[in-house]
Amino acid sequence: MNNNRKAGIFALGMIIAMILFMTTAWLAFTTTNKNLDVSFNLAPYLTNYYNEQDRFFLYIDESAKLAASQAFYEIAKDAAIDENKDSCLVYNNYFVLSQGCKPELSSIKTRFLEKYNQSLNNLIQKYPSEKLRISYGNEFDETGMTIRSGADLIKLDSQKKASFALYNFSYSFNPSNSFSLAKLNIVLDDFETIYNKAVNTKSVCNQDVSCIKEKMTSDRWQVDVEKSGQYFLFKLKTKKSFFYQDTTESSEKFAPISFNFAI
Amino acid sequence: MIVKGIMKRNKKGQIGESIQDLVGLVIIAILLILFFVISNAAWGISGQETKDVSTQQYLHDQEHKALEAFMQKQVAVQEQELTMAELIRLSQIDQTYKSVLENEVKNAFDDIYTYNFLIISAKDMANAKGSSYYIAAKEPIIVNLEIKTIK
Repeated sequence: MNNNRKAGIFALGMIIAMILFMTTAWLAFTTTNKNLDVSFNLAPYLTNYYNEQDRFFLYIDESAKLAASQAFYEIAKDAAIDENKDSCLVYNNYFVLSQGCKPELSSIKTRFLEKYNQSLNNLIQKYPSEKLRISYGNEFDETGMTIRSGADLIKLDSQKKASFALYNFSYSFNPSNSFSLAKLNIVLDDFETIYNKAVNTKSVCNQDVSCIKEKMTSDRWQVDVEKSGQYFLFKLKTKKSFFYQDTTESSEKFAPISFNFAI
Repeated sequence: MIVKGIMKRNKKGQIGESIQDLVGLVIIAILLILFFVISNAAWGISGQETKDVSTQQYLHDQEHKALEAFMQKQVAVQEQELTMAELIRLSQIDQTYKSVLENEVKNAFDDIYTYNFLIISAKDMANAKGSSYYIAAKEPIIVNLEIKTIK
């Protein structure tokens, strides 16, 4: 009986030791597993976030090009003058440019930025993933040739439930972007320069059309000139094609942009 | 040795205790084995599972990288350089450029992968396999590449 009691106490001790041992081992095992699980899960989540970021930046890059082309088209369509100006005459659908109604770089830049801003944000609002439909503020940098676009940080969140665990993944990135107009061969100075050149050439060539045409050649524009009534009609087209939405036909186009005016 | 020990204890009339210890040890060993087997089954990560995850992830990364590189590739159209993303947009505006795009897709992927290259609508996006890129347009264009195998 005495020995049996000792054996009983020993067995009880063993059982308690086993329970302690097994509990510790179980805790260690599950903690390690959880850590491993996080490590294994983190890689694909991170990759997905990086991919989402790449996808977004490619869309932004293309949107910036499209927005710049659209703004350029809209400026050129109205002979680069302020469409609200009432001092401008119209002859046969050509704006008649003069000292009181001519393209001015500072006003062109302002309107270009307004149109770019509107067009870019419209495109972003159509981004297929709703959580990335952000809003950009845009400004020219000090060179006047690059547009900086800034927006709040984009935060991507996701959640994964696993055995005894809930993982929250969060990733944020800065969506700021800059776009150089040189990428599209857009030079906003062109409108003012071309107008001044047209006025000078008209006077130098003594109103001879072929002379004016010859002297108006440009690297970026194809120039055609004709006389109509008391006016010279200048019909310019970019040598390069652009993507834009034709506001008169409401259709997408890939074509040269026209800049027409009369003097 | 154990038998000899038991025999020795037998002589002292302690065979019962020895058997009890032996049975206890066997139970502990069985419990330990069971514990590891059950734990491994419940929470463990088998080598096969890890390998499958890696392969899928690798293919997915390939899809993404290949499509990104393709979208940024330059192509000459109307005597000017366009990115492939722009060619895709152009092919949506002007159907005559669809064949140009198809050739470019073949040149880029045929030798390397068996794949599906699709231009899909936003509503089909949820069911799309593979990696997608979006191209800004009047309505965004969704381009999808699914790599089935690498040649």
